[in-house]
Amino acid sequence: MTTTRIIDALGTHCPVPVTLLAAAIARASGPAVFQILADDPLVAIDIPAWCHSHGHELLSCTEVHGQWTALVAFTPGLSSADSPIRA
Amino acid sequence: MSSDEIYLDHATSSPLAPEVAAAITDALGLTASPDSVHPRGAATAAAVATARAQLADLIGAEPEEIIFTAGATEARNLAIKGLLSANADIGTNVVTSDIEHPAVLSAVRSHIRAGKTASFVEVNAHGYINPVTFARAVTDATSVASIHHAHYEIGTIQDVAAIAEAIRDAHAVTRIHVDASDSIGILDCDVHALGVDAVSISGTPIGAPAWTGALWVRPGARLHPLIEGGAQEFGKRSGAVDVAGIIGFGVAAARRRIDIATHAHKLRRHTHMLGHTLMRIEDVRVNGPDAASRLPGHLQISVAGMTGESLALALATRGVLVAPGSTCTADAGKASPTLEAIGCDPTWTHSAILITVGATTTEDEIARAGIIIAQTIRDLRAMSPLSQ
Repeated sequence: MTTTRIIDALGTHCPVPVTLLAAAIARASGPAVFQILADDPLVAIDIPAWCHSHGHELLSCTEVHGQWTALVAFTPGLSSADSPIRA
Repeated sequence: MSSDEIYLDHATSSPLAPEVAAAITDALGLTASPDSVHPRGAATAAAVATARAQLADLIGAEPEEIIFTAGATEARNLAIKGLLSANADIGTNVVTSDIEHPAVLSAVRSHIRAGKTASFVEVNAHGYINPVTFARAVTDATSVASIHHAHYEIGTIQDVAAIAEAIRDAHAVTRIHVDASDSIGILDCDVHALGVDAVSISGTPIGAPAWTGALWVRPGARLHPLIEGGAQEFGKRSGAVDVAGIIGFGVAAARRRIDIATHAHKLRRHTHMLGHTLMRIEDVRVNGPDAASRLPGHLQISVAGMTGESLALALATRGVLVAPGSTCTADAGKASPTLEAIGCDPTWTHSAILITVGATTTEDEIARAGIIIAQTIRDLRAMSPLSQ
């Protein structure tokens, strides 16, 4: 079963939202969807780019009143989870 | 500390259990940052992760939901200011009670100073918050409601779940913060049973260093950090982490998870014994609810005919260490705002001392403290013009 985990990156600035996502994926023990909440406009660029470079599936990235919500799917074996980054 | 001294100021700071002190001492040997990518860094990170899991276990949370802070005051500030800032789209009003800890009230007053609104809900003569009254103060513009679990002075235990439910009935999105800094490790503080969005925690009541604290935040509650610049503590509290303090906090949490019921029973028995002795003295009152309903370990008394400061200082010269009035305004020489809020007149608001017992308190100390406090009150009254 795929679980959804919320990553609250609100109030943080580039590169912290991506750092938090990478750390959460590194801790993941199975398939998961990560919902990243952020209010740094750069996440609209950073998250899709990072997903592309690391082989993760970006399901969506939407903005409402200055708050972005990105959904990223992690599937063990299909994407790299070898980031050394910790939070 | 002299072996003859009787230490009854555990709410301010409590002696560390030997296992906690040893864990902290050992942790000082961890030289690498938990943020470093090399193996030494990984070892430190693993130790911090263990501590986070230990604290999470104590409160029924997930480790990633814990943000370590430097004490409870920072946790309270982070909760109030961080939730208000990140949830401004809900509204800019905050609702709290008249008798919250100064860290909560100060954060709310800063919000007012910034041109925003706040409502302060009255409590009854024992310090209880009425859930219906509190919920009525919450409006569509209220983004944050903040209450305490157990009161830091008079030990009143609030029905947090009932208050949260009353708020949610009409305002489901209002974020609810609970200050559990005095109840953690004494009462059950399962975050899901409390039914709230954020819980402030202090290390002190569980036998961790007084400089340790934490904030639990429900995923999705939305929180802005106060300290920015890095990804430490999930981006909510940047800066180098207090590795040794956190590891000690974790060990203390793991120990308390096992003995919480017996610990609370012991604290309640000791404050009940001492309160029973002191209540036999003329013109002495116990503030707050009766012993069975009060936070175990807390006993605040007011003594007509003297100030709390003079009594606390006189007791210190006789080897009994207590706090005047409240632990947090001890040096202000002012009336306790809490005692004013529950309707006490100046006879009682200026004459309070706070007695808090802890894990190291013995029955013999309680018996001796009762005799010394009673004699000191008699002696001060004999020389005080206020008592003539």
